[in-house]
Amino acid sequence: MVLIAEEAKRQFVVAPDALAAANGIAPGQTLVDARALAGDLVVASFEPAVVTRALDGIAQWCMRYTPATAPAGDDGVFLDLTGGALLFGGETALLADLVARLARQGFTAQAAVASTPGAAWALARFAPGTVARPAAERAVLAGLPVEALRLVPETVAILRRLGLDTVGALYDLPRAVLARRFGEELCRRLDRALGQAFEPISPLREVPLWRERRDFAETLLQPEDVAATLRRLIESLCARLAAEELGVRGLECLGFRTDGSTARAGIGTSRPSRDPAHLARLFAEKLSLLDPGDGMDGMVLSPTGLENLAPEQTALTRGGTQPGDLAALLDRLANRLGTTNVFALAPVGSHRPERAQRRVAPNTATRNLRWPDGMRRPLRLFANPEAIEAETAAPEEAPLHFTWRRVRHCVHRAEGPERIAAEWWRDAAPAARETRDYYRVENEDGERFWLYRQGAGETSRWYLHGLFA
Amino acid sequence: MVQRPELAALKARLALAAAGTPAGLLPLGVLPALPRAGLHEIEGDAVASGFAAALAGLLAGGRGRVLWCTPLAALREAGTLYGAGLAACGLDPARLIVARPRQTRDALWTMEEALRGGVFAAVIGEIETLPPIAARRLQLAAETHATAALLLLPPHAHGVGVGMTRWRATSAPGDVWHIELARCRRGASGIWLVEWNHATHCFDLVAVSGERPGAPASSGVDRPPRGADCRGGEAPVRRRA
Repeated sequence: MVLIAEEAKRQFVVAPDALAAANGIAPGQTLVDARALAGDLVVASFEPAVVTRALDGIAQWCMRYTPATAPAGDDGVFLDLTGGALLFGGETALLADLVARLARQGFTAQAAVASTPGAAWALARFAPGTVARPAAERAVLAGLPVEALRLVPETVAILRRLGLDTVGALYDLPRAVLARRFGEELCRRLDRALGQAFEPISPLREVPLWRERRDFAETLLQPEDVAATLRRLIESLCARLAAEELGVRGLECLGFRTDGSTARAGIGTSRPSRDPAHLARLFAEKLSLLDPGDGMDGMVLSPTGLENLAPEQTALTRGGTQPGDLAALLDRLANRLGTTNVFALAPVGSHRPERAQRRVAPNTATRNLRWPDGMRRPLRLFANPEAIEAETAAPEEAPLHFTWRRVRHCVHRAEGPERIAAEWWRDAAPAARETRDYYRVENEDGERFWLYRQGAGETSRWYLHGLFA
Repeated sequence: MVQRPELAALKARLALAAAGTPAGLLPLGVLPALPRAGLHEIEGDAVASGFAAALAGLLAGGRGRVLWCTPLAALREAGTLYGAGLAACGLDPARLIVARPRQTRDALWTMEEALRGGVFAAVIGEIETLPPIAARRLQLAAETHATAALLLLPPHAHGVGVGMTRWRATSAPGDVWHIELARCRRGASGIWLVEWNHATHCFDLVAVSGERPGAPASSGVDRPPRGADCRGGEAPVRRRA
């Protein structure tokens, strides 16, 4: 099987699989040539987006080894192992584990460890399995072909033509000559590979320092085991947070399944917390997201926000798991219903009724805010006033009848009009700039409605805006 | 309209209520006192919401908090809760937290969590249909955590018969609320026409349209014996009438 792409109306092989490669098919060949080598070739088109997505997935999965991972180009992933490899029994063991696990997922992978991203990139491709000691890196790289320096094909072609086949051949050439002849890029690549210039890796996500990780010798299959592990991760994290007097504003849990997919669940808190019981309870609503599937062999917990939290503050937070703590309860509600669906109401200084209140976070202090008094306002308001048909005796009078949601109401009493002017500095649309005349009307059964007329004369329209109790 | 002797009887009842209502009962003036802990069903139109807001405001008493659980799905149909209007019904918006669940399942969970939290004086929930088991859970949570659960049911909804009381609150001409106590564990039921007095924060009686025959004496309404029929958690208690 090969993946192909079309360029200048000709189809080229982008990537052959192992079997196709064994038949002599190589990237860059035309599809016609490739078919000549293998008649029963299966062809699929190369989708860069699919590859990018797969690579991102692998990079995310690699977070089981280190929080700092990043896709590299279109066929690699960088892992920053600084200080982390010991947890996996050393770098050589880590490499073996990484390649083996990827192979189980169906990916053929090559990997290497070096002290710079450039050298690691080169070794992974041209000397896979190498764990280069920093002192020996220069010597190891010297034997690699110049392609190992991540150069554009044109530069490689020129170097080859000049007989500069290996990285080592470039070591002794004067830098000025190299730069003049092949451009700054070659020098930069060389410096980066040799560690003479720093190359940052931009990880997929911000690197959390406060990670908690667990790997399992036996894969987890039961959701209860996942919950129990999560609980242990939370407790362990909270113990560390307590020592530094910190609290989290949110947590994210990644679960690594054996099939290579990653489960993810997150929670947020309305104020910093390091109360394991409270945090675990918030996750209880999200456990379905951490479905172990066919098996989970690793979990990582990291905070999404850290804030100072003095010990005396935790005394309050600890009450959170007991009845009586409003904040803890609101956290639970917000986690299940969504933060936008748990709120308090605050008055806004606006004439337009639909703007006279807004939703605020439920722990916002609204006690001292004044609600408009002395005006009759409905108990329920329709965010979008509903168009109604109304009959009036005279154009500028209260309606005698109106039809709302297909029901005709006879107006027995009406109060109004209360004229509410448009807020021209806020409204752009001409229709929204029209003055409204509000009436509070009562039908034959005593039901009370808030109606308004917008516009004047023949073009006026009627709307129902709210219901009174 | 109202007969004089009836008014006198009501005044006597008011005086009794003023003299002291047993702890755990919220005096409602002209209406029978309301158990503070337990489930109360209120069915009706917009007035049911107003009545619930008024009850919650009285239950909160300027200190407690109120949670109003209003489903997202009903937002278009019923409109959004409006602070100025709630204030006019006696519920200070500063005491209120609104929760908007997506599904009935979430609404019931929210109500039960809120009741168990013990941080609210009242938890109001708009529920279309309430399975009897869910109602019993809410009643239990409300009772054990000494919180009032006010269930807002659509007009003519079937009662679940689990709660302490069942009210029917509808509009009556002239800014009047038609309040019917359709079922009460203590046996009292009746119909009152009241107005919410925003200044005094109480219900002003407009008229009373007759209590059911056979209902216990008026003192029994406000001061029930502390018996199982009042606050017991057993299966639905039949109306004594």
